[in-house]
Amino acid sequence: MKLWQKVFWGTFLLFEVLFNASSFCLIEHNFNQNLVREVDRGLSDQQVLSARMESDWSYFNNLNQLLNTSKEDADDFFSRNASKYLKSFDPDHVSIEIRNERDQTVFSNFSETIAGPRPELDNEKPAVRKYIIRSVGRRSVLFVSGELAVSGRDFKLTYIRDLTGIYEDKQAQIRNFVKINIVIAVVLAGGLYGLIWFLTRSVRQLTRSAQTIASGQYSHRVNVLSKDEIGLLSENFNAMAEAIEEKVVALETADRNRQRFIHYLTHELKTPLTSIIGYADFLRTTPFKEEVFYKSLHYIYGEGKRLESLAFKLMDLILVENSQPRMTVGEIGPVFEEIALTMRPQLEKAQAELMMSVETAKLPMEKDLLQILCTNLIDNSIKASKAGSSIFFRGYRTEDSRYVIEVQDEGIGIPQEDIPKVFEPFFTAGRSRTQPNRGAGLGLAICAEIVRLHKGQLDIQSRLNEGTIVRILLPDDTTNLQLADPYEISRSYNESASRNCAFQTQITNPEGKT
Amino acid sequence: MQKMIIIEDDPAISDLIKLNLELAGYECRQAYSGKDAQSVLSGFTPDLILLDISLPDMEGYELMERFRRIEVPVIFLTARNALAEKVKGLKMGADDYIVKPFEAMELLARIEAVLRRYGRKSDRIACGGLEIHLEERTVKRDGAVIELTMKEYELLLLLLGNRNKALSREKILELVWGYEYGGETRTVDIHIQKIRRKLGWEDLIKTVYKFGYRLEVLP
Repeated sequence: MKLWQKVFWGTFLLFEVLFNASSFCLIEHNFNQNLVREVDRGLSDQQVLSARMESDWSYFNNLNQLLNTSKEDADDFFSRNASKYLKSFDPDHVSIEIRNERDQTVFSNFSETIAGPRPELDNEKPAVRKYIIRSVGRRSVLFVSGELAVSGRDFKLTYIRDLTGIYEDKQAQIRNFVKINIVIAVVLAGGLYGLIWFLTRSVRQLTRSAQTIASGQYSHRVNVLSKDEIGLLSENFNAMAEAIEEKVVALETADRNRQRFIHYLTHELKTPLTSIIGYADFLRTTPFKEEVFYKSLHYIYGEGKRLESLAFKLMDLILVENSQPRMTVGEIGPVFEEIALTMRPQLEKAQAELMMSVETAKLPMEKDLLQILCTNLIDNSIKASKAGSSIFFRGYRTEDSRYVIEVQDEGIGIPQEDIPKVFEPFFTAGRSRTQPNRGAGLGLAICAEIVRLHKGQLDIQSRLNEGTIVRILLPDDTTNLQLADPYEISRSYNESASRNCAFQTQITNPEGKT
Repeated sequence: MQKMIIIEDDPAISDLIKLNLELAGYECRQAYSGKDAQSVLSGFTPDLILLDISLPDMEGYELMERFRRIEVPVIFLTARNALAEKVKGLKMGADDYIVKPFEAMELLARIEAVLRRYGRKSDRIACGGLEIHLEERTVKRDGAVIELTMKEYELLLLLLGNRNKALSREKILELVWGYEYGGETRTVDIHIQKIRRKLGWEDLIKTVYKFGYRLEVLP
């Protein structure tokens, strides 16, 4: 049963029970009062009558004695004169019956026959008047009997009063009440229904909203209609929906990123594999031809190197994503020196010159990650540069006391529209696959992660065929070390991890299994 | 000689396909991007197009729309094993697809199948003094029919389709007898002996030591 039905029936039935009970009590009470009044009246009427009769008889008897007229029988007296006493009463309702001591009816103007015993006539205590209400035919009649003492004889005077009116009144009241009750019930039902419908509309709306959200429309919100408890619930519901939407969007984004990552990774793995397997198969199944042989081996070697570089980059990415960064405050100068040293062979090979200038400073950093970051940036610059050009590697402090690491080259540059995309895994500017020194497209993705872990900013400015400047703004000095509590770091780490979690699951799962 | 265009941005894979196709007797042109392909195609009508879905300057699908107008069969190459992508390619009008990494033999088989469907492959093959009528399923030398069993005929077709390439016994077994056949590679040796004798190809079908066989004919 629905809530509105429960409230409706509960209220309706409770009201009906109380209303009926109180109404019936009232009617019953009223009826009883009337009855008591009528009985009292009957009793007093009977008393008055019997007193008058007794006094009339004694007067008449005395008169007879005085006049010495023949002594008259009381039986005759009553049968002759009784009807005169009735004049003062309503003849339709009141009758009297007089019986003598031998239980003979002396007078009666009560037309109906009375069936059954007549306990009111019992004569144990003659002085006490007795009454009874009995049904005679279809009428309810009050019988009040009492002693009528006349000349030592015990007559009985029964005062008979028709009370049918009172009973009929009661029935009429009940009938009226039932009619009123029906009207009230209808009005009440309608009113209650409307009221409950109105009060529960928020709940229904909430239900519909919940269903809408459950069906996947996470941006749906409830209209808050009132300021009562349900209104409060709606507000909280909206807050919950908001939270869910945010989570869902975050999950979807993470999922899309993961899909894209897998997509690119698959491509990057399959392309060199196709070549390596294809050439190897070609060589083993065809007769030896020197030209083809060396060309094939060249490709196998090149594609193998490409796979190797991809594997190393992926390992870097694992390192960045899985290592909890342990920031230590250290001198930046030696780090720069070390980076320059590592990059020397590549620089020499590309005939590029590294121009380094570093302003010493103590910085909170994760040395290994910072090294990966800088070598990646310099590596990108080398790939973009022609032989003989210079690459600038600078470290300096800005006016607002932030430390900047800057790598500048005079290379081919990045098209303006591609700059926002360069941090995506596997993106290579211009998608120039045919270029000989292209990378896997993971370098800047790794850099972005490292910068994020350092709570820094990465800024790229580039002009086609003029060069590129990559600037890393590290946060303001050692004061930030306190801010960078473990929780904060692990959280930002998790956020960044979601970007490439596909990669994590793919690569790190074997470890998890063991 | 049938002509092909290979539209593939990776030079290693492009060259690999070219090597294999040329060995099978096709003439090949290469294009490394969408634009490149359009300029090559302006002065060259191939019998078949091999198209990589992910090109540096455009999606392979975009090119496919243009190919439909010139009514040249297309086989697309994809590194993504996603069903949606294959279906999309086929719906765009491609005749077949092949997923990287692929084996040369599979590529050749698919190319042949597509060409045959388009009727660009003649039903007559001439090789090593033999004349093979694919429709009639007959092999003739100087007009005289040489009787071959079903498996022998299929084996011959396999060798012809992979001229100058060594086929391993396992591969032959798989391709002629099917995956479900649990037989031994000895079966292959016996059948090779038989067709060598029947066709008089003792010199042409070479045994590759510890590997399999190769049909060597001059291109």
